[in-house]
Amino acid sequence: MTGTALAEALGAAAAAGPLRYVITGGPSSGKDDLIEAILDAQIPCMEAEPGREIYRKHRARLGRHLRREDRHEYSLEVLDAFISEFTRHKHGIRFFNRGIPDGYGWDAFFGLGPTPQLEQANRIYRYDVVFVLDPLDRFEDADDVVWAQDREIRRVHELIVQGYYDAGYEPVFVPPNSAVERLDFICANLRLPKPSRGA
Amino acid sequence: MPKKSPASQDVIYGLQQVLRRGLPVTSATGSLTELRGVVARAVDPTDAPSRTSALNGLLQSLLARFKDARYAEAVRALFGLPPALPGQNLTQRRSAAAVSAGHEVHHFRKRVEPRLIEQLAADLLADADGFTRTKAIAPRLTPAGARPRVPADPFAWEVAEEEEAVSRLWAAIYGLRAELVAIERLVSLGSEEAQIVPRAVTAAWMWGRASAAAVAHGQAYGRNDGQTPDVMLSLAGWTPPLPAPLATRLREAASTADSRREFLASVRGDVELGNAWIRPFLSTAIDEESR
Repeated sequence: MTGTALAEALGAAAAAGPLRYVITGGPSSGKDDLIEAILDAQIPCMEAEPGREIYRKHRARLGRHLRREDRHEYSLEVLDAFISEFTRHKHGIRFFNRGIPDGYGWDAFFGLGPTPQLEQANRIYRYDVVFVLDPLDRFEDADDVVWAQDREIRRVHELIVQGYYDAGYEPVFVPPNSAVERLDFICANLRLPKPSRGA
Repeated sequence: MPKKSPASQDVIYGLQQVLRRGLPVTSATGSLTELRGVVARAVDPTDAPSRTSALNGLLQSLLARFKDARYAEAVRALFGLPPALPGQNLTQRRSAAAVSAGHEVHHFRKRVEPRLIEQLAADLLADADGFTRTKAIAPRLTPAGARPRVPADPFAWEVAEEEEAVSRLWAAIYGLRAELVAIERLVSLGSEEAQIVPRAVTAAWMWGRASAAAVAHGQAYGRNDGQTPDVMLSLAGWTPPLPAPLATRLREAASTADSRREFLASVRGDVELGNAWIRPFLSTAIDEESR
């Protein structure tokens, strides 16, 4: 639920130019829950990350897993989707479910250099604030992280973070808390009133 | 390319060098740019400025997430991040850090600063550990606890798919190894050719499958970490050296056959391949007998 103060702040912002805020982080960072909390608070937000659907389409078209040579094509299509999302937003506040510089993390994870298109897009399309969600602590000891998947997911997260530094941002790290607490943290950081949640 | 991360003392020394001028680091700082986490983050790991840029990102991200809340702001100021101001020298940054931590500046420099640098060095080394790649070691397995959940995220899908591929690759390598061990056991027992040859055929099938899995893995996930398909296959054990065209024929026959029977049917007429694969196993047997 949007509080009156928050609704007023969003209304005032809507009359002005665009403010674009990125929510990013590796898998298992609790991004989906936070996006849901943002939407619940009726703050404008990009709901679905375009990469998911594009990934599914690529898989379906290829009929196999993505190979090294397929990944640039995939990332360019994702880049187009992010640019389109970016340019469509003209007024007021909007949160973005990942952003253009996530492409640096994708490329780095697969040992690929950034494409000229990504470099150019990063120069042209700049977000106002980037929020990085650090991975949520799971109830396990660090020594239990034995599955390659878990280790790799941590690595993905760090490469995404590095991508934003490479892109010239200084991300704000959002502590691993509940989605509601994280949203309050973000609102405080942006000097926005906290969403009202009723009694 | 570094194979081993620097020692703790080297990292502490590197951080002390960084501290003199503060962030951003403008030139290569010895051991710090050798850290695996830095190399992995660099857009071009062979390029010193690229590694320096990666080091800046890593240090900023670690300082932004410094775990000791009491000293988080102080350590950031010490290294030149806000609340320190751009262009401040070490004396000014240290003074800002001491104020932030609520200490007298000499006490801060002597007692607190070394601990903060040690903590940051430990964070750098822990990060480097996360970037250790052990591709030539089969994944360590532990009893399953909770059901694993793959987040709905393209990165996570790719990571999960790679783990599938790695698991299948190692399954194929161990399957091949089992057959190669069986052959050498039969040879050691002085078994008849009629017992060894069927095992060698099975080993050929397993080799072809493992080889196809290794090639596919390299094509999909090759990250220049030195694990070529040949290196991966050699982990299974000794096999007869095959010229490239024969290796290709064997790999193709094995990867398109759903069973050993199908594989055998497809290679039965290939005398050149049969001789190249089976004879060396038998000649090993003869060598053993002649000892």
